[in-house]
Amino acid sequence: MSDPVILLVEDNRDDAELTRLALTDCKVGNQLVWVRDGQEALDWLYCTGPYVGRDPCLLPTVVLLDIKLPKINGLEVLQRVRQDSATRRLPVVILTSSKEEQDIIRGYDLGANSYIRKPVDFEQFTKAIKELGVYWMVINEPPPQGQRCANG
Amino acid sequence: MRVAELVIAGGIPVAFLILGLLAVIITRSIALPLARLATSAEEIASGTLDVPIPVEHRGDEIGVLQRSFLHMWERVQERTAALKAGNDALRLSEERFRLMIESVKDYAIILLDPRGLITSWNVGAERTKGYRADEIMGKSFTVFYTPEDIAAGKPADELAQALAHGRFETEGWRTRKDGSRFWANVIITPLYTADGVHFGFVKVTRDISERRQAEAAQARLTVDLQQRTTALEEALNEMETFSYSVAHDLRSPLRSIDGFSKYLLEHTLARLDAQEQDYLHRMRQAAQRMARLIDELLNLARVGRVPLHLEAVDLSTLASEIAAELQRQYPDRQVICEIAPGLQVRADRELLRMALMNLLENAWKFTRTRTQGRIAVGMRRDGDRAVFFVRDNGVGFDMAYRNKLFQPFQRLHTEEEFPGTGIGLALVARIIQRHGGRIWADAVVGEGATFYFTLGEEQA
Repeated sequence: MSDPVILLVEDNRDDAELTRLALTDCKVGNQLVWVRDGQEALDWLYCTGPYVGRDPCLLPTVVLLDIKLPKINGLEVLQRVRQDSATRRLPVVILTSSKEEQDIIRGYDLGANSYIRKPVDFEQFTKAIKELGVYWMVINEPPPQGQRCANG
Repeated sequence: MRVAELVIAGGIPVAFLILGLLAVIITRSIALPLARLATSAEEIASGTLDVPIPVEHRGDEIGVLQRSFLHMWERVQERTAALKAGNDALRLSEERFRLMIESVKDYAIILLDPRGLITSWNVGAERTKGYRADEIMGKSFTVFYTPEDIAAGKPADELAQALAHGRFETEGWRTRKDGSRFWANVIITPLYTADGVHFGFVKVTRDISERRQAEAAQARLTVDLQQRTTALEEALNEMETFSYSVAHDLRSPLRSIDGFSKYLLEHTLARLDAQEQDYLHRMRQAAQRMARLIDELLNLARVGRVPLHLEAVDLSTLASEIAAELQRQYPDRQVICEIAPGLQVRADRELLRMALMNLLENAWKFTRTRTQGRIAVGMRRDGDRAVFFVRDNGVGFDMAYRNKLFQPFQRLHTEEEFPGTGIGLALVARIIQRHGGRIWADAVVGEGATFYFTLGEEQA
């Protein structure tokens, strides 16, 4: 089985890079997979489109999901993930700059495991990402893999 | 001779004598009093009430008749007096009423006969419609209507409606003698005698052009106000959206600048020379400074529109908490902070905290060059008003610039001397203003500054 990965769904390349740098600092950065929009996130998760050849058994330990994304937004991605039996227990953390209560409610209703507002301040941003990485990659016990890869 | 014969023989003259006596008695005691009564009755009937009523103290029918007559005479006198009083009152009332109607100036009160011809005209009618009484009496009331209304049969229709419903009220255009028009309120009421015979109408007309204009103006103002309110609401919403995007979208590139320069400083420090390192530091500082500026601008905007939640606040405690916080933030500074105890105010706790924080931070900042910083928070009385102050022994400022102190982005020191955004005091001033208070300052260059503020009228 390959190393556990974090799937980062983020359209802002700077934020993505800063996230990577912060995760590198806490030694989980090399396991980061970055996709730029909701469509690409679904393609990666379900091995479609450009990810047709990807090993479907490899599911991320956690998905860091932005809400405002091109093509398919984060909440739609979350909905699809929860509807699919292979991914319905996948830990999904919403990481967004939206402070709209509606987004937070929708996020939890659709089954987000956590909702984190991106701190605008860089120091706090780095701190939040590091804690996120440590919590989900080290402390949290991930759900067992689904039937898709029962022997994976 | 038999007694009977004697009687008869001698009785005839006697009988005559008796009859004569009887006649005298009857005349004296019956016919005369009756004649006197009859005379009195005739005089009363002819209107003379002040006549003597002959009354003798007699026990017979004549006496009863006399007393009844006297009783009747007294009742007639009472009734006559009552009638006269009633008549007088009625005349007085009618006169007053007539005078009142005649003197009413703002209402045209006109009496019409059943055909609509004018039978009475008051001052108000003359003022409203321009005709004098002698010009208009006997004319038809249709002259007050516009040609269109006359063509439409309105005058007759209005009288008919008044008759049908007991009252008719309308508003519409009426014309004056000079042909000009005015907007009138008209009430027409039919008049009936006590027996129910219709004998005319009373028509009350009031010129309400001014009221109508005022109403129209009011309506225009209301619409205008609504439009302005809508525009303001839109502007406010736009500002909310703008603030949101400032807070998030504008700050996000700053996060990149700050974040990447920090990374470079941490990871490539060894490869950079002193100048390159300095530039990176400056980039970080600039980014951080801009982030602070954005935050404070947002605060300034927010302070202007958040609703005030006034409550009892212990200003002394609040100031002590802030001072302790600043002490922790600048552990190497020697500052003595004296805060007068028990300063109770009514204020919005969060806004007041923000204001005090800015004032105390400034005091801390501008006493930086002192080996022993001294800061005092207290209150003094100005009449019945409480004036609070924050005093320091810092560098002070030139009073010539005191007007610029509370304006955003106005700074009296360079960034190198004392860093700042130039928004802090503007924020403080706005918070004080929101509380209905006033803020001002007093300073001597090189000796220190004192900021005074009040918190509205209701403060103890």
